[in-house]
Amino acid sequence: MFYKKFSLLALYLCALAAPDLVASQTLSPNPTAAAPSAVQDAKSLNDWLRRMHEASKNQAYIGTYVVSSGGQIQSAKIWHVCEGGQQAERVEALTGAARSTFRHNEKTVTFLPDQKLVRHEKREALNSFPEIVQSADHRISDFYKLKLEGTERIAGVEADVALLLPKDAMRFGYRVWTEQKKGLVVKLQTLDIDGRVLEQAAFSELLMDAPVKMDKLLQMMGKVEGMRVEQPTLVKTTASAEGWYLPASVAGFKPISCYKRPAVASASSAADDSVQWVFSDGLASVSLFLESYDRQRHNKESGMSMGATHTLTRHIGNYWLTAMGEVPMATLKQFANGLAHKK
Amino acid sequence: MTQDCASPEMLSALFDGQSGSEKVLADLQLADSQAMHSDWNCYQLIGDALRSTSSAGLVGADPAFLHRLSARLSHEVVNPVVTLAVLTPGSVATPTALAANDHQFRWKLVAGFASLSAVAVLAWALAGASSGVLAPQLAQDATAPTLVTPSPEGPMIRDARLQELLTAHKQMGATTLQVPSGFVRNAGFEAPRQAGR
Repeated sequence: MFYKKFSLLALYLCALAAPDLVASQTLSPNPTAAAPSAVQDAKSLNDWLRRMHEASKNQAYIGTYVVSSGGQIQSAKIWHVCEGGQQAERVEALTGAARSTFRHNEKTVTFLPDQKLVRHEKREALNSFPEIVQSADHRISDFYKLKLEGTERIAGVEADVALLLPKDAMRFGYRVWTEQKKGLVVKLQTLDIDGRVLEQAAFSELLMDAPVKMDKLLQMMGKVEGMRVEQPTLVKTTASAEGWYLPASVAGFKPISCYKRPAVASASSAADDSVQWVFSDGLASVSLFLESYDRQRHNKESGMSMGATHTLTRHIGNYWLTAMGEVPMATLKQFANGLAHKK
Repeated sequence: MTQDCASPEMLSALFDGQSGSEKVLADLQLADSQAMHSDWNCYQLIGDALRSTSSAGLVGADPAFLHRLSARLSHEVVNPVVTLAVLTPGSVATPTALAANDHQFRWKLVAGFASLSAVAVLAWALAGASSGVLAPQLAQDATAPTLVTPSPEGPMIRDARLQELLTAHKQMGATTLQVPSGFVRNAGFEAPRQAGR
């Protein structure tokens, strides 16, 4: 398995190196000739990403979204609306335990009717995405390559197909179908290092410019009668304040945020506060969850996968790490190996 | 001699109602023999089996066996309280009303089996861990249920804590690309099929 990966990686690197080699030989009088095209590549990738990001905000649609990963198929109905710079969304899980999630800008409310529970949460990580594209001088393009692959019809709309290929083995690739008029992502495949589909998600039904009413969604979002309301007080913190540091950074992954998350009393009674340290390379993200080591619950270090999402647990001193992300297991291992706590 | 040889056929004919009434008496005289009696029982059994869909109420089983069985049953000491004490130590009050206890017993038994089988499945799924160490820990951790179900991709792990972490990860770590799918999914993690992957 490893040999196969290495040989493929070697092939891939050869393929990457070969045109450069030819270029440097044939264009030896002007060695910078390759640079403008790289800049152009980065620009086209950034433009494409920005368009995709804008589209995710400036849309009103109703659709059925289906996610297929590792032999499981899960689906949800989504209502999305954008009014005057404000976004609201309702996601109704159609598979498994009943669950509806409402989002209003950075506020998230999750209804779990089986447990008669409502969970209020606030987040800001989503907004960090454009900064990653804008500020960090082609950072995403340092690790991904854009390749356009024509058009296809998905959920009744014409879509452009683009391939985002990773430039190293630390992240997965993506094939993205974006609706032609406004750039909404209508289908997404996550590809492993060998190009196999790990996970795919697509709208099976989509109604663009749907008459979704913001006030109606907000009204539903506030209906919590007869439910227990849980409001985890997320405390923004820094990794160093919590004593955590990562001396050797993992290629392309930059820390985005760090939160202290109080234990949720319901499911895991013995748990105390945990720290969530989030990293992203702009497309994929990794969460490092750190909590006090509990001999009872943390009985075995393990690695698990759910489609593209991988999870690794590790006992580090008096702490227990759960690393989770849409990245290869090797990337999580690198995070786990590098992570240290100040005594 | 010829009578003896012909008798099973005659008996069969009598059984099937093909024998004439004038022959019945003569035929019945044959029923004296032990072999005839056994054959009669046998045909009756076959007939009942052919006519009925269940084996309940079959007559004509070996009388000696039935006798032995009922004798043994009457001597059997049935004491469910002992079994109950073994299955759920320390959790059972002294039974005063038998009917109430019987009801409780069945539920305890079901619960006992359910938790036992859950532990067994877990022990099987998390291969490589010493099951002797694992089982008591998992049995104690009944507040946070971990569900392991087999799937074509290997054992599937559903854990309340993992679900919480996944939700947290999807909320805090969501990029534009990952947003919708993060809210669609319930956690169902696959245990590794091979080490080192």
